[in-house]
Amino acid sequence: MSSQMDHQAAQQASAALPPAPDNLREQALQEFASAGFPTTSLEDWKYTNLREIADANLPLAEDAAIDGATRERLAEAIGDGAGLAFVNGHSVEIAAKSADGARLATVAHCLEHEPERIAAALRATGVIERSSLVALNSAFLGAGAVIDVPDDTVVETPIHLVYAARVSAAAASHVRNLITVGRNSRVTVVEHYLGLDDSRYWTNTATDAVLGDGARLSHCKIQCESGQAHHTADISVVQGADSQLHSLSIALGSRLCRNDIRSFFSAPGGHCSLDGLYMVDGQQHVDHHTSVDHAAPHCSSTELYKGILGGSATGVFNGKVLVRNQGQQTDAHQLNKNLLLSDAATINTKPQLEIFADDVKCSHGATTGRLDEDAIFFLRARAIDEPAARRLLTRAFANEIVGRIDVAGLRERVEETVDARLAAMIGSEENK
Amino acid sequence: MTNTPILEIEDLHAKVGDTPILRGIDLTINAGEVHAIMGPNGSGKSTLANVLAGREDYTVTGGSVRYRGKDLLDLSPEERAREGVFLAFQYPVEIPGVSNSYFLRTALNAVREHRGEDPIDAMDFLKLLKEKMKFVEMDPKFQNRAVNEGFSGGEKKRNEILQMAILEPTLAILDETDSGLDIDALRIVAEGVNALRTEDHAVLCVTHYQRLLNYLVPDHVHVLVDGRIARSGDKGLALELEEKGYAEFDRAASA
Amino acid sequence: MANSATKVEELIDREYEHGFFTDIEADALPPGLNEDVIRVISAKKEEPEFMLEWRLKAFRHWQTMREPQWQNVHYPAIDYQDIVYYSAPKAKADAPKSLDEVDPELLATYDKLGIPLHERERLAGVAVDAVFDSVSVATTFKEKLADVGIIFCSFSEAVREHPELVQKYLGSVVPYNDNFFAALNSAVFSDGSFCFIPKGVRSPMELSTYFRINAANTGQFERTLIVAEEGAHVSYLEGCTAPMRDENQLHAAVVELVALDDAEIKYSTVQNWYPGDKNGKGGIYNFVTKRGTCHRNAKISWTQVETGSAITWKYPSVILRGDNSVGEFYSVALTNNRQQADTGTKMIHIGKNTKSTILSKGISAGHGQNAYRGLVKVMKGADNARNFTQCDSLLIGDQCGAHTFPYMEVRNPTAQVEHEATTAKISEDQLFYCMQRGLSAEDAVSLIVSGFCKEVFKELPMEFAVEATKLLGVSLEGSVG
Repeated sequence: MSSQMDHQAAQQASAALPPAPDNLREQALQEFASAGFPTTSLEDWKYTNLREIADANLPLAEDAAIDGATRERLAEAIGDGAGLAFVNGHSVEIAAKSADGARLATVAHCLEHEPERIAAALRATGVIERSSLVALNSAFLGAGAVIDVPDDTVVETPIHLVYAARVSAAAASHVRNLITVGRNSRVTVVEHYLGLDDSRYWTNTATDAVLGDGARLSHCKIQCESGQAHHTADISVVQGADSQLHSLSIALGSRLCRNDIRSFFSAPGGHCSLDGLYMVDGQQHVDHHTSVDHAAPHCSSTELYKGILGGSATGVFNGKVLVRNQGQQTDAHQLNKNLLLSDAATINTKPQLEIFADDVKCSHGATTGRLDEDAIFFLRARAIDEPAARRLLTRAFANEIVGRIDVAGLRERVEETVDARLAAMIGSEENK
Repeated sequence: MTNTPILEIEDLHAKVGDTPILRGIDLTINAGEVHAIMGPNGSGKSTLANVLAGREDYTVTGGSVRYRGKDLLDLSPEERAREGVFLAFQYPVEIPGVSNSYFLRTALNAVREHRGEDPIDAMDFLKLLKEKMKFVEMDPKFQNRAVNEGFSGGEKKRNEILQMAILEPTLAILDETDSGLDIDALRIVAEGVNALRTEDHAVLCVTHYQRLLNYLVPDHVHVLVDGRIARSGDKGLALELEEKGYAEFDRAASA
Repeated sequence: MANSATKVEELIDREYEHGFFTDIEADALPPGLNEDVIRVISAKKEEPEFMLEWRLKAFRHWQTMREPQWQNVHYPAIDYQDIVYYSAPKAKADAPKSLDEVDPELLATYDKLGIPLHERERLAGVAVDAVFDSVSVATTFKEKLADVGIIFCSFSEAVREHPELVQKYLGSVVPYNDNFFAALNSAVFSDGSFCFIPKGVRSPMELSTYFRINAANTGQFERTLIVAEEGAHVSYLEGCTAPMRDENQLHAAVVELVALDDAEIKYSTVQNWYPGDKNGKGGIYNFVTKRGTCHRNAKISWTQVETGSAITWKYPSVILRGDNSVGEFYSVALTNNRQQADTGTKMIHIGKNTKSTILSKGISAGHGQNAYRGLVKVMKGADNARNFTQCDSLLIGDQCGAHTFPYMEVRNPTAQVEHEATTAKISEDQLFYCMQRGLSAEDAVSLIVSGFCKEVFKELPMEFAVEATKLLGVSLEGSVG
């Protein structure tokens, strides 16, 4: 089968890494070997083809030399927050605030000194079924961050994890972030993925978060990989009683992007809101699969994903809400909205409800189309010319999501990036 | 007035979940009478109305209720309705897709069948409906709209009175029917109730305010406090309460 | 809440009304499937060579295919060699020339089902083709329809009398290799209905087919083909019942609709195959492929009320090929006890200014599992395509499930595609309100459910709307108490 990687080479590469607890690498590699790369024959991968990466047999990315400009970009991403920075998966020293109250360390450090922290986090998210890419990620565990917030602690300073890439020949890096938020604690984590140049590489990232009772996690992922890159991500969160998750995903970069975002309610009273914005053009392909598993009663979830597609880009959205038999009094609402800017763009969307409990309130919706012509007319009647009216409304469409970023400073920076991206997208459509 | 009792409540106790709400109510309503039950919020007024209609969230823990000589508590909600017990809901329920006229005809025929009468002919029903809608001053368009769906608060209450006018119950129980109504609507509700003021009917009107009682002069007024009737009197008692409020009873209850 | 749920459940237990069995002598083949069986079927039906070849082509393709696994239904593997592929009531002479020659037992069966075939008692305004097991036994009002040029007859007769029409349109919408069950049907189908409405003709009456499975261990594989020429209009109804049996029976039908320019076809189904008993024993596996093609300005409207069958797997679809064409899908699917349904539609927008509407109402009770699965696809050239989809689910009791899988694939920026879905249950407040007005719990549930389905029922022709409302009441009986 062409979607099989060179198993022997992978085994050697994995064995060369520092040992991980509980035979993790061997088991994960075994698991991946039996499943292989996901193919389009799987319902969840119907619209996203990984053949190119599967066939490439990419080596692990190597440490790159860091120049001053790179250092500056990494520091800029962290801003006045706390955080860690990595290039090609290798940790880079950057001066940053300390994350008061939270214990922050690299995965590499923990593998050597505190392997039990890794083992504990991985055990907790074991209840969630994830794709074989996560197994592959575990086999190559080494890059990434471990964040532990003790009980009853409010971490005011946002923690930024910055992953930048620059490779001389195509290579892969597997990033793992492990977040544990204790009882009644609160923390904000921002993951940045940056392409430093036009190089071709694959980032395969996985984030595992465990929220204790009453814990709150605000998680934001901003993906601005190189236009040649492949980016696959799996964010899985296990929510305790009355815990709250706010997840926000912004996907602008990479040629192919696949984000899986999963929340699992293990106890009553939890809430999650999953928000996302994807803006792609040219030959880009972006795929979001979200899954909310209401395995406990009295939980609520809301979801808003928006997409803007130009050029020959393809967007995919699949939002699954599963209400199990125990999930009585669930309140779940989901909405996916898409704007197509060009004739060649495609959107495939499937909001999916699977309900096994009767006392629930669930709704979902999806729309695809153009800007509201009435609104454009209204603006024109107020003296705004048509291209400006279109730009304004498209920005407003995107800003509904960007405006939900609750980290001061970050929102403004993302707004600027989104505006610039949008101007380029609309500009290239108008010049056709 | 004859003294034929329609409703005889003796030492009625009821709870919701584990919380006792009614703690020994005694009340007799005779044919032709209008009784008002007043009281502060949380005194058990709505509970009493719902227990009489047979709502399953409430558990009767003691006492008895006789309705025209029968054990009322022994009957299912629909049997009570067919026997002529009508509850005008505090919060009327929406039933999407079911037209008002179809709903009313189904209800009326269920009651008629119970009485051993033939189902009403469609034409006769429309005539009756038209007449009653005129009586409660409801726009005829409401007959084809889904039951209470998208109705304003006042329209819903008016719809309750329309149902009452068509079903002609022996015992009408009005649960805060006056809340949120303007003067016009209030007058219509009162007219609907007054039309039932004959030898064969009786009315139990649950209300927080005296307002409705200006239009609907009660024969007896009872003040419900903490699950018991704290005082009974004539219409003068309602006026007194309007003036002084329930403070006196609050003190009595907490003492 | 627990109370109303039990009430609802108790209400659901009502007996299947059409579960009787007619003891009639049948001419049946032994179970099993191979090329010889197909040759025998074709020979029995005195088919021209092209039909046999088409069947064999389909059979050979079917052998290379695998049964689909993606649908949200579960059932034990079907042994395709254990099924009887041809069973026909034994006729006195060769084929009945008129109703007088039809076995009186058969006529009585249809009388019992409320479908009188006798001249004097026929349903006014409805022409009926009655299909018993695999063959058409009678078609009413044929002559009257022939007067305006409409051909309405059994499929076998069409193959004999109008081979040029059959050859032209058969497989033009659902090719013989379309999917596993369609391929199987193409190989072994034994009869069905054929309608041809010539250019500019508006059918003076509703056309309908009434399907009845009677024999045991028999698969029913009928095929319906409706062709509406330019500007023609027709409304077609389909009804189905089967006896109560402990074994599952396979029903794999194919329906093809062709609506040429400016034509309109309205296709309504009330499906009441035997659903199996309370514990899921027996019942029909209803695996059906239904599809229509719309040419310029044409309209196809599917309305279905699915209350029967142990498993329903069907997606009546419309290919909106011509500009300005319109596709509609209105569906009520009810699953009770152990029934499973995976149903929905596909709307493929190819022409410009094409419009589609999807309205699906799923009701789950008992241990029923109900899935809506739909695809709205807007192709590149489909400028200004519009779709609106609304899927609502009603849950009765806490052991059932409702699932929604709406796929939307859009490749044109001028398209407007909207999807909305909601899930709700019958609230205790609604039940109590109705009961306080004198309705029994049973009637209250029926009333609320029919309110929920109203937007679909109003799309049904009168005679069917009444039957559908009754059917829902019956199917839900025992679900409340």
